[in-house]
Amino acid sequence: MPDIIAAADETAASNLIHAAETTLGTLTKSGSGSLGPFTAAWFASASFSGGMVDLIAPNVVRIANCQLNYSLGFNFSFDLSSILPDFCLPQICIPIPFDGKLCTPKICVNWPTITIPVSNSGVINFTADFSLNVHLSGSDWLIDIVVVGIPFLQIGPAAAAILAAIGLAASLALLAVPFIGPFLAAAVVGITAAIGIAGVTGLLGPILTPFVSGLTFTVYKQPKLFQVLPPALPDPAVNINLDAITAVVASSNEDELVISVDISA
Amino acid sequence: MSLTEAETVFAGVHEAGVNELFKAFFTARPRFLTYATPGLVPPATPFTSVPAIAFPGIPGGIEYRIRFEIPTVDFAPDSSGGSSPLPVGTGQLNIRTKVTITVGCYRFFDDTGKDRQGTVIPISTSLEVWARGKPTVTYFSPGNGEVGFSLDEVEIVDITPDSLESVVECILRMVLQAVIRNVRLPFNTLTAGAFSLALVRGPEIEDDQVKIYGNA
Repeated sequence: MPDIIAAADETAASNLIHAAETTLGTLTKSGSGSLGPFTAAWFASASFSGGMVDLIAPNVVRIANCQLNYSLGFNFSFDLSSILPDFCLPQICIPIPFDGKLCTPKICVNWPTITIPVSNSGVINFTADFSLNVHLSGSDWLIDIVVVGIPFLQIGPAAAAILAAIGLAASLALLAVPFIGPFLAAAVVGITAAIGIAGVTGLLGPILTPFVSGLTFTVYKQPKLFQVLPPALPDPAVNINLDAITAVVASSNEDELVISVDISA
Repeated sequence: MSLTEAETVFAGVHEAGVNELFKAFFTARPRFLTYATPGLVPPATPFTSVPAIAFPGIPGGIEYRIRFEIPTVDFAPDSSGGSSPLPVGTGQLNIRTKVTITVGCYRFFDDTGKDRQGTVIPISTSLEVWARGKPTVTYFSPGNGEVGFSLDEVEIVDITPDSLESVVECILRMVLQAVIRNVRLPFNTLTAGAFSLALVRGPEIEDDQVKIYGNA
């Protein structure tokens, strides 16, 4: 029999995992990818929260409806001439009696290439199975739960929200373009149509999937040399060695996360 | 039946684990094993200083030393193989140790009839001590508390007459209780730091373990 047995039911295990989600903090990544016909440089951050824990013997921790809280910023360049025809306002001359004529200059509009910055935050729920992994890391014992496989992320709703954000960002960017007034709505429609949901999904998937691929939460971290009592002058600290640790999911009339520890003086 | 039963978290420490904790405690803090007047302690030996027992006519009083070996614990059910003179019942524990009692035996010399010059010669006896008791708990706040042990009875075999045995047992019960009171096992140790435990039930002794139940 192990020297110490610590057990947590699914309620307590949920608390452990929610604490581990908080400890993991915010993860960040950056890169560039395809946004429909465009190339977007992006920066993304993600954190995790919530979820219902289901312990499945002997080694599975299932988290249902875990929240992936993401924040995404990207920008891409768009040549307006690709959807709006360039045009020229012809020269107009007005004859002036006894003094020749007064002419306006010929004005040609060549639509510029604009940079559209987009930012969006949202939540994607996912369900995933994690396996227990007990290991020594340096002088610390860790119990990690490591995601099994690559969780499916339902990114359709997020993609729709981002496409709407692109439209809004495009409107703001276009307002600064001279002579765009009559063409504003058409330009926005043209930009969002060029990208489409598929384009956003194509960008979003490769950005968010790495956050959940290999996702690891540390639910236990203690030094191998474990302090029982702190120093209290004139006495030194009292420590024990955590020699071996195992973690399993045990199932009886309820499912529990059971941590077994062997110690020595 | 689940380990947590009606609560959400559980911690159980086997008697072998508690004995490792005892060993860790007394190895780190050996002064809690030796209680002595300074004159009876070898140099560099950690000890807890106690005053000599004052007695008229004995210069400096009666010097003494009480030294325990690191105690070992046995939780119910009995694991002594029948050797315990105080077998544990349900919810009880045995603590076993060996105590060496040393007295500074003051002798008067009167060789010439001119001087009375005293010397102190230590004489010792060692006794096997068995105690029976139960766990205690001190609860500070949710997640913070300590498990300790209290002793109800002490048995020392093979002392006669019985009245002497009773006197010695009474003294050693008081002293051993004072020693054991120093050993405190924080909840955080009983869970090996896995989680915070707000105590609901326990400590309970069964299955050779001390068990506590609570909510995270």
